[in-house]
Amino acid sequence: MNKMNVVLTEAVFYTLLALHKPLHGYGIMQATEQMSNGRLKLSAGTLYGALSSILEKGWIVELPGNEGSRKKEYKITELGKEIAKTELLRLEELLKNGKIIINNDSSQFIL
Amino acid sequence: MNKTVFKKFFIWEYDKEEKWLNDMSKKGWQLINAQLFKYVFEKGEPNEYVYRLELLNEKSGTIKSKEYINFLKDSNIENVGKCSNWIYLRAKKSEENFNNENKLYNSLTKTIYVDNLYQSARNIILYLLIFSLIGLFTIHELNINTNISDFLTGFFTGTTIALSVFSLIIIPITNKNRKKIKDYIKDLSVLE
Repeated sequence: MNKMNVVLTEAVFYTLLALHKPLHGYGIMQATEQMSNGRLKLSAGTLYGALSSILEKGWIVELPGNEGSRKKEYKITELGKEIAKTELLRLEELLKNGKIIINNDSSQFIL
Repeated sequence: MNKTVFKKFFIWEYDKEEKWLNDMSKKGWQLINAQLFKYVFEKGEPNEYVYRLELLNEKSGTIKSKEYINFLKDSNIENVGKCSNWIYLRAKKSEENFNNENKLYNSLTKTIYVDNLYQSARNIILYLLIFSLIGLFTIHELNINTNISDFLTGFFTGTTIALSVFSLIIIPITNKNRKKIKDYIKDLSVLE
């Protein structure tokens, strides 16, 4: 499969991670804040935009609502999981090179 | 205790309007409803709410917009007014999420919206100018000598001059706005 150079925003990456479990909007915000140790607080506007885009791309699905509740829940799809895995590889590459040069960490050369 | 204020803000003065609403909030007056030029405030605590103007995506349509506003509501962001494609949002000061996220992107969409307005104005002025010039030319070529043709000549000369002045004024205004857009795009290419 042709691997395009996909670069995800932090908001999207953390949303994909969070949605490995079904969550609604506010749940995604809380999960992201927790995973990033309080650093990343997604705003509703950012999250809404991200959810709309990745829904369109088929990286997540909307779950059928329970008892007509207005709050929609979302979950990651198989495609979304693939995208997240590819992104993880990219981040590992950045991390490795960063450590080599910035941290002078030669242990990174060992495969 | 409520009070109603009538105040005029042009569409391109959205920053000024937003600042005014937050200044009112600082004085304890919290906006509870906004319509064209008409603002209703409720007395509350100073800086109780933070206010922001946001531009809805015109292509979204009513359903998507309602969805978006409901989504915001679930995040404790209230919609207190609407004017064309603009919505007035507020959140309690303690809800920090509201404040700085996406500021660059939001500013960019608003600046582009205003640019489209300026473009439309420029186009209208241009078409009217061409029309006036054609009018002047036609009357001159037809060589009629009546009161009506004299009046029309005067009229078209007047409009030609006025429109030329307008176009001279609007060009630097448009360019200043365009520069803002370029700056935002430059910033976006560095930061997320």
